[in-house]
Amino acid sequence: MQIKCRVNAKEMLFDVSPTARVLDVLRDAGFTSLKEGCGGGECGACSIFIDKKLVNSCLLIALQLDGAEIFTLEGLQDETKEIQESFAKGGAIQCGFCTSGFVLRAYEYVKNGGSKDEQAIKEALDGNLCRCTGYQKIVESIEESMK
Amino acid sequence: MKIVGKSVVRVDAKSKASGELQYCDDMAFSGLHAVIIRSSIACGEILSIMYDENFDFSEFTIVDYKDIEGENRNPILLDDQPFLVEKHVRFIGEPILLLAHTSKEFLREARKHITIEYREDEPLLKLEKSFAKKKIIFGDDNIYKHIALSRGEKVSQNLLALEKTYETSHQEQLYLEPQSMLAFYRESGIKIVGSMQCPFYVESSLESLTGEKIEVEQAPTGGAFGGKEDYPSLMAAYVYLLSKKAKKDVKLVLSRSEDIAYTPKRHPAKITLKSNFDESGKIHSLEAKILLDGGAYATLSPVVLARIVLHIAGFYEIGFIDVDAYALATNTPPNGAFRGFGAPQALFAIERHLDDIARAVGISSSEVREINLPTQETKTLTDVTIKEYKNVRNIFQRARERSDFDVKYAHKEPYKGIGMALFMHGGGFVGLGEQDLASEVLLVLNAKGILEIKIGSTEMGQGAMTVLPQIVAEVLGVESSLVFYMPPNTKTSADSGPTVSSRTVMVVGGLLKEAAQKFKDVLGVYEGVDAYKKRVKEYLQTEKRREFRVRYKKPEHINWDEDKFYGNGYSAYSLGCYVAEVEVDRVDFGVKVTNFYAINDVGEIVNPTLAEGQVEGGVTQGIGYALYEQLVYENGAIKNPHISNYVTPMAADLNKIEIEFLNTHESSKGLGELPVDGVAPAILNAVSYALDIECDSLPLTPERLEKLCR
Amino acid sequence: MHRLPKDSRVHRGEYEVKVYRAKSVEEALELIENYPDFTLFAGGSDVSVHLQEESIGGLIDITEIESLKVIKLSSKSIKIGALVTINEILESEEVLEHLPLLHKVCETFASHQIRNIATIAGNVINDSPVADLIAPLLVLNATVILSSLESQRVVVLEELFDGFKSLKMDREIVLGFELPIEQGSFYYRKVGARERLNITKLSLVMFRTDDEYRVSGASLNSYVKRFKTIEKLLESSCFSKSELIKAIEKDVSPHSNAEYKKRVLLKMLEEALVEIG
Repeated sequence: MQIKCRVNAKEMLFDVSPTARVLDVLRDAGFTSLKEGCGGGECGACSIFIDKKLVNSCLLIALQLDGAEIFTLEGLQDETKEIQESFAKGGAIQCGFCTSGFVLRAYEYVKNGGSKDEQAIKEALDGNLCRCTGYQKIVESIEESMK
Repeated sequence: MKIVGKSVVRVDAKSKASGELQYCDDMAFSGLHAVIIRSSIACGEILSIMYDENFDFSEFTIVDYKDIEGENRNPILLDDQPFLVEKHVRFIGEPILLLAHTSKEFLREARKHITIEYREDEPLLKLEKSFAKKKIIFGDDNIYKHIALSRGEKVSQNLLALEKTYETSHQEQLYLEPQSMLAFYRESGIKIVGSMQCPFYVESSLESLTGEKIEVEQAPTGGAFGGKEDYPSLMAAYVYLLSKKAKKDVKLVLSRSEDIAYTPKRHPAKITLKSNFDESGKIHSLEAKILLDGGAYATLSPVVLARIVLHIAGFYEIGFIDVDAYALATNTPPNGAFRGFGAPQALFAIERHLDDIARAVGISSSEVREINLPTQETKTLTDVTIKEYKNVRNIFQRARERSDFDVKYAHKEPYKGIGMALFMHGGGFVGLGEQDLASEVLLVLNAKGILEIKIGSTEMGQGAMTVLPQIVAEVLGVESSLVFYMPPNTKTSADSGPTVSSRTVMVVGGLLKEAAQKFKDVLGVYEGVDAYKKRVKEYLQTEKRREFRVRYKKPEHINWDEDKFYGNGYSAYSLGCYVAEVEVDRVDFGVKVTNFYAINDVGEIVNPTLAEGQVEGGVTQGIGYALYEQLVYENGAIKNPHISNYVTPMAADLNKIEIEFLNTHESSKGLGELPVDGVAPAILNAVSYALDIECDSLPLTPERLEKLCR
Repeated sequence: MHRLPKDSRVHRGEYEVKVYRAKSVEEALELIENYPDFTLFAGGSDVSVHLQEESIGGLIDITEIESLKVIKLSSKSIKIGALVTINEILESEEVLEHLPLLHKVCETFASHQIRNIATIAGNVINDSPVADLIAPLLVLNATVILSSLESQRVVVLEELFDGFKSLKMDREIVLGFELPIEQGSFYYRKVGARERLNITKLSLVMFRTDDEYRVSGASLNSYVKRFKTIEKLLESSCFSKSELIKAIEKDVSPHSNAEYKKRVLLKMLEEALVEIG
């Protein structure tokens, strides 16, 4: 099936099965910032923006890309510069596999005027799993970027 | 210029934060995908393998054990694990066949058209049954390793006695990047690239498989925690065999459920402690019986058992210690390394036991530990004194002070509790292990004047690629950006040993310091960074030598008798004293860790931010081990191999961990594993105290806690 | 143009996944009639995982039907379209003001990313015994608006289920739900293995009006239903703890960890009665 969409503000045309996972379609097209950590919508490492909503790309099928506006971390480098720097300085990165997903979620949270309350930030991260850091420095880095 | 002790931003921060860094499955690839066909029975024999004649297998590459030209044996310790099943099956999920094709979809189809017929035997699934020899599945007694030793004179007259059994569970490492491996097919030879902790282990396994030395390179690795210590050798063997047969590039990436279901886990243990003590709580004797479930093949079990034995008595002054420890076979997937490697199991038992003794004589958790603290004359189970004994009182008191332990313990509130654990972690390989490893480091001065670190030690998130340059730069008196850590490759890197056992900063860092000094010596005198750069430029023009190697030499004070299990178990011990405050929910029995104090003594801290990260990450894995993480086995298979029902704590469950590092003027000791070791006992001591019950097995889920309270 | 994967059964022409996109409810219903073996695709998270494993003839995509995505407030009720996502429910000020119980349940539904995909109808129709939204919809007396080619019907939600996976729908599409605006107080508590992102272990939902108690909960039976014995007992306004325990025994029959769930449910009921009387 021919699927037309915009990825990172560029027109893209895919010829894929409509039931192919968006995770695979985008990664095969070179957008490897999104990762497969679980394949079941549980870890958030595959997070992308579709029509301004942050979702798990492993739960979407190619059909849903049709006519959609997609942003991956590759296309949001300027917008996430501050969060990236905050994460780097704050020790919020260890193995890095979960980082893309956290950067996007943190960016969205701050942009939407999320509460500075520590517990609110932690709850906002309910769709992102990390095994290395214990989350402490990720939360602190987000707090720091909100100062 | 002081570089060690500075929180230098990690070298790979930018590439990870931007999402640019390519892990194994991100790299451009146009070869074959691979799948493993695994056994569906836990014990028995393969009778036949049938390929549906109505399915076209001609496009598929199929490999079985007959395609192995060398030995069908993964060389670890007892060398009992085959790469692929020949006839006998010993666990559900044991690899039998390998398939490769360009399409993952076709591979999924093909699996349905292969039928394997088995003769199924009754599997041996329970640890106690294995010990009782209800059925023999290994050797003539199911025992991979038995360690029995005694030290001192037993005294039990006029003493109180307590016997208790503590049980720990499997635990899944859950590195976020699943096991992944690539084989690149070249005329000149196949090159292996993948997610791993120990490239030279992989090289050695492939040498057993093929009779040849194959080039192995570590790709950026998304977490490991011990789960990628030995399993990558199997992954590499599989992609190698397929690549050799197909003459194409091959990639094998496990799905999350396959990874959870079949790769090595933390060993479950059943530990019975029998102690004799007086009314003041002073322990006079400790007898430990340890049963460790190794799974279907020995792999690392003998060494895990050794670590348990060397940590089971904690760091207490005990006149008589007797240990009888067994690593046993069961028809379940082989267990392996996971951060702590036996220490969490041992320390859970002894630290819970200390609290049980306190309860028996009516004193507090801190008082019972104070009475039993070691002196400089205290002897270990292996009949030596340990230099770190002099630091134990200090860390214990500091944790007590910092957490305000005694006040909180005395002012008990309903459903709330406080608990502690005092513990240690022996760094590096046990006994003469480091000598056997004979690690080597290599520094190479490149044409641009950058000093390259070319070693087999791997970056897996813990920060090796940042702190090792810091260590070298410190010796040279320059900033760490002038020292560059190169991705490990067995063709060009020195074998600095595996990246395990909390040995990287301590052992490998120590060798790098020596190598850096050798380089500094040939540079001559200089003062400051600019002078260094000038001197290096001159050196490049006038001198030929570019390589600086150092090999490990066993320190004088380490003496070890493997047969008698006697001597210095480890060259240095890291110390921890952790305190957990908990609150139990009255309605659903969920336990929340409200405060946590992690006081550590690991000597000099190279990078404070990264060191804190190790503590925070390790403590969180310990909290998971204590309260959340449960693998349910049924008939030899894991029922919940999904992240959705293998629950780990997330951000909303966790509170701030207060961290301190003591004795930072002493030389660096291992930090990677220490933070997991003492968490579960501190938490379960706290819950036991909160509810006036005894919590003796892991994990302490709400359901189990509710049952204990009935 | 990106063609991927190059090597698949679809590209080899071995089978084709046809997609028909409905732009209206009528069109969707016609497609369902004409292609009974096609899978209905509503964009939710439950279907996509299955689509990887099974070969399907085709998809009827209803994700573009705008009329299913509306939240409408009237004087007596709020209508929530079938395709409204959980986050859209959370963002709705009307729901927050008039149906605060529903808002509260949505707060701890799965995770942020899943709340952007999961739909109210999807959670109901998937008909899982652990579904989070069925219990609050039951106690809020929600009605379901269903449409077939022939007719529309409005049914009290309860009437759609009578056992495990026994959803009573026949060639129909759920258009949405209507929830009456009522005065009352509520209690909601969900027990999971951790604070967030859970498969519900058990939950208790209670809505109390002047003359009624409506009680339900997830993961306590083979399907989510009202706890009629407990309701009656609470309405009798004077009862003992042992009577409450007996009522729990009648209404609740968990598949696993039954003792734990029943004991915790009792404590939750006690907590609820303290909070809302």
